[in-house]
Amino acid sequence: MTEYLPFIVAGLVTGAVYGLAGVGLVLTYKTSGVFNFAHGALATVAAYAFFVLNVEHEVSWPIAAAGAILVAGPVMGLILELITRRIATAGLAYQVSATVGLLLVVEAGTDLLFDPTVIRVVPAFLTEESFTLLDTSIAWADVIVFAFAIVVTAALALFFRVSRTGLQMRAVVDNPELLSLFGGSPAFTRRLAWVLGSVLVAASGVLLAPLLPLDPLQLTLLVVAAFGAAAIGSFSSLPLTLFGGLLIGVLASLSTKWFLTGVLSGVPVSLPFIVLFAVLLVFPKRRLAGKAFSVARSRPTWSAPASAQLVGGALVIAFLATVPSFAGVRLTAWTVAVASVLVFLSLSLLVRTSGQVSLAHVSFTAMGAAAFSHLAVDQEMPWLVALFLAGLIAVPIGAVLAIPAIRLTGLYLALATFGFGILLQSMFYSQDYMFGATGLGLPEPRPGWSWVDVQSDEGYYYLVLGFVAIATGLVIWLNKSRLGRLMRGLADSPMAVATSGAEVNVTRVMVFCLSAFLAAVGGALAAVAQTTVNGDSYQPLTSLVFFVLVMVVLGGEPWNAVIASALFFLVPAYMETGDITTWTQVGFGVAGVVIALLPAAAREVPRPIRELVDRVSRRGRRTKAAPVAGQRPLVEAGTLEVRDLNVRFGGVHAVDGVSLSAPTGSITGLIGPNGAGKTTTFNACSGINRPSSGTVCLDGHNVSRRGPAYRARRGIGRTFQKMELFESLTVRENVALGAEAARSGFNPLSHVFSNPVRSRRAAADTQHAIELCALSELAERPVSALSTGQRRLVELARCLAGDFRILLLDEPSSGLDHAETEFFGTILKNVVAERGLGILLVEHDMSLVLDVCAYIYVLDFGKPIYDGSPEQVTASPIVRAAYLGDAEVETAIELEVTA
Amino acid sequence: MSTTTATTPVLGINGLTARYGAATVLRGVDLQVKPGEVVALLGPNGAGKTTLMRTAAGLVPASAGTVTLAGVDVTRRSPHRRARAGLCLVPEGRGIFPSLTVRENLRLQGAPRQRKETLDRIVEAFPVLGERLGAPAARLSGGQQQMIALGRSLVTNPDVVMLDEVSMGLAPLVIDQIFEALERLARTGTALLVVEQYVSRALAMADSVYVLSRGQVSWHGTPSEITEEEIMRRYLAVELPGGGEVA
Repeated sequence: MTEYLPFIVAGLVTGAVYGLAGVGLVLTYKTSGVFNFAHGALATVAAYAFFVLNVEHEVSWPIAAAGAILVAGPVMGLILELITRRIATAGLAYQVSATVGLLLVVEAGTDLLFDPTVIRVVPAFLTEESFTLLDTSIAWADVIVFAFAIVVTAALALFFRVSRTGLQMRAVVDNPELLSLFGGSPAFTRRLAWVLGSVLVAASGVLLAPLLPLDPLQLTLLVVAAFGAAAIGSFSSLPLTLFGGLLIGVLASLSTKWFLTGVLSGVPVSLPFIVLFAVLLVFPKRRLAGKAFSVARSRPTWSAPASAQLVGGALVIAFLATVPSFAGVRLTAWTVAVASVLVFLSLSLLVRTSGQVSLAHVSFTAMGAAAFSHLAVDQEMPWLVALFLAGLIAVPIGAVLAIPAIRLTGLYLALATFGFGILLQSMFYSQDYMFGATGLGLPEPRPGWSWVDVQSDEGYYYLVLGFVAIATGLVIWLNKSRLGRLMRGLADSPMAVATSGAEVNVTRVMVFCLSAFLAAVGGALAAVAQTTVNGDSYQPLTSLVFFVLVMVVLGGEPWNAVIASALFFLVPAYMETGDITTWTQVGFGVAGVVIALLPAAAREVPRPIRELVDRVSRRGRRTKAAPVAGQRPLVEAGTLEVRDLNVRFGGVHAVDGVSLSAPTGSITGLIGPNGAGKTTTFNACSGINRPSSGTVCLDGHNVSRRGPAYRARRGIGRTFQKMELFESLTVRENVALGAEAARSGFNPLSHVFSNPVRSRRAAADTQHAIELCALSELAERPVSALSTGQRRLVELARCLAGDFRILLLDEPSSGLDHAETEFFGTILKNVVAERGLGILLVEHDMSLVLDVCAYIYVLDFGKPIYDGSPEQVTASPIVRAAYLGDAEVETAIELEVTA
Repeated sequence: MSTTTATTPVLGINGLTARYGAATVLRGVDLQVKPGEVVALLGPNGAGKTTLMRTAAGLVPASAGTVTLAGVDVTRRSPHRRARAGLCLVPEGRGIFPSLTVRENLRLQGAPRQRKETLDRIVEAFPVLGERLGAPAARLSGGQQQMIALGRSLVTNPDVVMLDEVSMGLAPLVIDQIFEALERLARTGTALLVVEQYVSRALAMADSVYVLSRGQVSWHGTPSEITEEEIMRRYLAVELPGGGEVA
């Protein structure tokens, strides 16, 4: 035991500091909904502030600590509150961009203010006396730090239970709007939380300062251990977060005793990330997912016309072809920049197109570079084969990273990838199968082809240029293919993709695999340009810069990738000053913050440029002939049968014994007062929630345990009361996804390819649905620009374009005016007459329901209370009672029965 | 409020227009609640009743028109300042903080220094809450949660309480209890603005009725002036040529 004691004591002390920082992180995350990736950077600022006061200005340590913790802390908290208040609705990717941007600014800014070549040491400022316990000498300073963390956390926990302000802080997490109705100010409460959280992390920065020479990156990453602590606390419990910090501290300390060599020697440093990653992979979903902060996503919808893109692309390639004539010694930088276009392209595919997050993209380039060297040199494989396999090796890793994306919301994905990048560096970079421990670097050979010179820098440059041009063309093609639409659909509304019949998880995994492959190939190509590489070239921090760049550079693919790569690799190459990369990092960081603060409209390509491009390429003068609408045959007859359905949420019995039947060839209504359980019944039919008992059958086939995509492929389509459209797609693309999502299904290949006959049919079905809903005029417009009435029609058309036999329409007339509602009713009657579709309609507009429905079910309090023809329903005292509440429904039922 | 005369509405809504994104939900709504009066606000789903209350409370910005409390224009004030000025909204759904205990929920409702009085008054009105003070509010039944939400209107002495579908999803027996509490509240002179899907219940206690259709006031009068058929017609939007001949 005693041999472990020193490690445990040391672990408890650092763990207490981690815990303290974690508590501050959880506090700010819970109250503001914005996860602060720059949390560790705040500790850096506090530690340097303490150094300046205590060491440089020789202020006594209590005053210096007070300055760093109680002055610098609150100031940073207030600044962060200002920023996060504005980005709370900006979408997750921009929130990450802003806080990651801050981290970059602080990290690089510190290096600019404090010459990184000078070693700065903060002397231990607490007492240096110690005592002996079980033969182990324990410093009083350690005891003080430990006790401080415990006392602070306990005081906070008490504060949240007892004081009114503490209660308000917890209340603001539950429901800020309600707090304001209670007379509390959510803004003030959040500000206070940010101040408190920043004070805590500032304290952890000051406590960490004497432990090692000051280094901004080290400090920032040390406090990132707080992420792991917060994960153990499920990002919500303060005491558990402190416990998590202690646990990580002790385990990390013990692992320095246990693991001295081999791959496990990286464990002590990586432990917080192993914990973080493990928690995200295995913790029960409901403990983490909790409150998904749903935010309106607003994405650019403009893209240059194809002709302009082609001409632009040709011009760029022509220019790049002239580069060797003037680049001189900078040709290598140019080669790396061109190769890295692939890396940025792969990241943009993931982040911008598909709405995912990756903060570990440099890891894929590192894998590509290392794998290529081992395959080409050690295994003596042919150059092209080695390159291809190097890309392939990253694919399964990409798939693993997709797991948190499948299980959890975007933030946890961002955290998992962030942790993964650091984990890979600390555990695997120095292994022999990666870069090796020696730091000598890996040789990256060029192809030994005899028929063409690619050995010289110039020859290799052209090889890379050709390679990247072809790969970019492939990516553009992919973007325009079905997979491209699915990816953008995934970013806009995964729910609508699933209910249209595509397996979103297959799409997610594919995007991650594809992105990993491209990044690894790009990484290998860039590495070969440099002839040797070592692990130092692949710092995890660079992944953050890449992410921010992809977020801030305007314009669509592949232009944003070209610009981002040029900014990152060429600007430093042409600037002579020594610390230019530090300066560019500050610049990118600031841009990352600014882009998140700007209104959504400002994130588009500026209007004058858009108009110029449109004018020059004569957009709109030639209209592409619309595909011919195909006639659609009658659907196979069938019935959606719901039997004795029960749905419970916690203690609420939302649907209680509902049975209904919706046959093809007619419209069935489902009505009832608010809260009667109509939408819940719908969600159970389409597979969005699981019934506690009862069955949902289609044509006698029980689909109760199947997911929404499966049911969609069996023939159940649906719309949503709160519309789920693909906002960044045009009307035609929206409708087309309805026609083809079900055809992509589970098969990754059919996500990309489809045979010509089928694609022609999908195009004809799309056009048919567009014409049916009178959307022809609007077909090429983005749906985000349409009115509510038109949007409802687009959602209906998407549903009509698919091979569905039963459509579930949830409140389709809400937000429509009288004429629009009538038109909507006419379309419904037409499609039923023409194609024999079955429709189950939830609707509050009784004139529409009575007009179109052949049979109506009435729910109240989640129970079926009546069903019959429209005439019977309007005459029924039961229904009237349910709506007016003048007599108990039961009495009315009795009346009806006796009558 | 003692300084206001009987003619000054305690809540005045004048030409109120509100939008959600591109959709205009309220189009120039005029509505007055006089001191001590109970006003029923009826209309089919989607007519804008909830938006009207949320705009009055300051949760949705008004794009035109004004909201006055006892004659004072509060259109530019934040929700918490309106709440402190005597306007109480019991929102749709359950107006509670689920992760706080019942006691903590109740404590947030009253004035800072009147912990005990607050608790006593609510428990007096809803004794069942007294037995569950330490339980997280999320564990309570829907009816008990609604009692907590209503508690605020009992202890903060508001001038006007807006109730948005407080009976939604509750069992009939619980609804009776809730309405009893509301009637008691009305008798103390607190003005109420009630949105309620059980029309008859709302009419039974109302002094004045407004019907909202597609964001506009389509009818206004006293409960005795409106027939059940008229409501049925407007409420279910059933346009029948013969008026009452539904069957």
